[in-house]
Amino acid sequence: MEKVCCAQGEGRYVYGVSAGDKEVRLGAIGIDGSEVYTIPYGDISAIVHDCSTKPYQSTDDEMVRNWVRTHQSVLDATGEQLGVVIPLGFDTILQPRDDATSPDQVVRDWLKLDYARLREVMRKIEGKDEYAVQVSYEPGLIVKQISEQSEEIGKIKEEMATKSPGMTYMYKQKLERAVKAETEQLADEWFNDFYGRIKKHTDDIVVEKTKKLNTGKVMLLNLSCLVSREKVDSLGKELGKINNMDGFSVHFSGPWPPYSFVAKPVVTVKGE
Amino acid sequence: MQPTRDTHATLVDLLDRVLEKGLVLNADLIINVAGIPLLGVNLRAYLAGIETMLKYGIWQDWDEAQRAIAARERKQKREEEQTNAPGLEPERYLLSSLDSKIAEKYSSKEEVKI
Repeated sequence: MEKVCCAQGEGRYVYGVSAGDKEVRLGAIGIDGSEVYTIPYGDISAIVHDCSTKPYQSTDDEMVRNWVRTHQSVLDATGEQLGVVIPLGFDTILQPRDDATSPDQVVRDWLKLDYARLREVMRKIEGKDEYAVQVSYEPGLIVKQISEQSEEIGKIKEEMATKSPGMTYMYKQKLERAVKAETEQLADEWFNDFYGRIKKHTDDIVVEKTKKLNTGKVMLLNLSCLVSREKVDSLGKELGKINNMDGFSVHFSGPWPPYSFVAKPVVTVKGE
Repeated sequence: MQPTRDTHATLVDLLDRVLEKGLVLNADLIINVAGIPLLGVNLRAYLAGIETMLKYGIWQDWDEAQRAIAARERKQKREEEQTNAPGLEPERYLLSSLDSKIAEKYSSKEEVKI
């Protein structure tokens, strides 16, 4: 195979690290149509394309989205062809050295330095994928349930009915506070319940920050789950049960490369 | 329940991961450092935009969303101005905007000899 060398620049954009001891050419599937290939060191390989030493930056949203999608699709393609892949974040570019070291050699030197750690990460994620799981609830429905079931709220409502219109406002506020407190308590209980039920079907789990939704629903938990392939069905079943509960909905996406489980910095061993 | 990879429904999941996570390399070796200093200002602003769109809905309250983005960008700019000398090249800019803890960690480390 002919080697395309250095024509596109001295930097090496790294998509990920896979198993494999051969140089594989994956074609022009990279960002902006770049040729993607692997640089092996021993039995591991970096998935790269040649680029300039300037990071990818743009104010064009669609362009950024496309870059990100392409980054992901390269990892998908490599995963299919080479098996386990450690994903890197967008825009990780290995810097050329000042001396005469070739850019590919810079990549090999990095793989050599971090070999033990990369192997360890690979062992951890082999045969597993990441899934995003978000559970949300519909506040209206929950409030209705609470109002019907809570004794305290029932009492406030009864009292409110006997009061003059002037006093109603105060009682309304009291009612709102009581509903809020009960919702928060319930949310804690749900969180613990769902978290425990979901965790059982995962190999590792990261609790992410919840987000505000535009659907009127409230996100209760946002999880990244590392799941062995044989466990995905049982996780799906558990999530199905939660999704079928009145007032709750589950967002379940994947399989993703295990982005959330490889994030610990690779710290090069001193003195090596 | 089956997981989805439908591009429309999962774009935010994808952006959250590709732009914020993934293996982090030693800062000495790379031009960009994933997550914290790696992203260009525009990408971060873009992310802020996504969140805001989700929060307010893509078509409704667009003015409000725009204002929120602008406010965030202003805040971000102020923070950056405090930590950066003006006119730095992107690479250096990115390094100097490192979280102080991380900067400390990396600066205290011996230079990597290969």
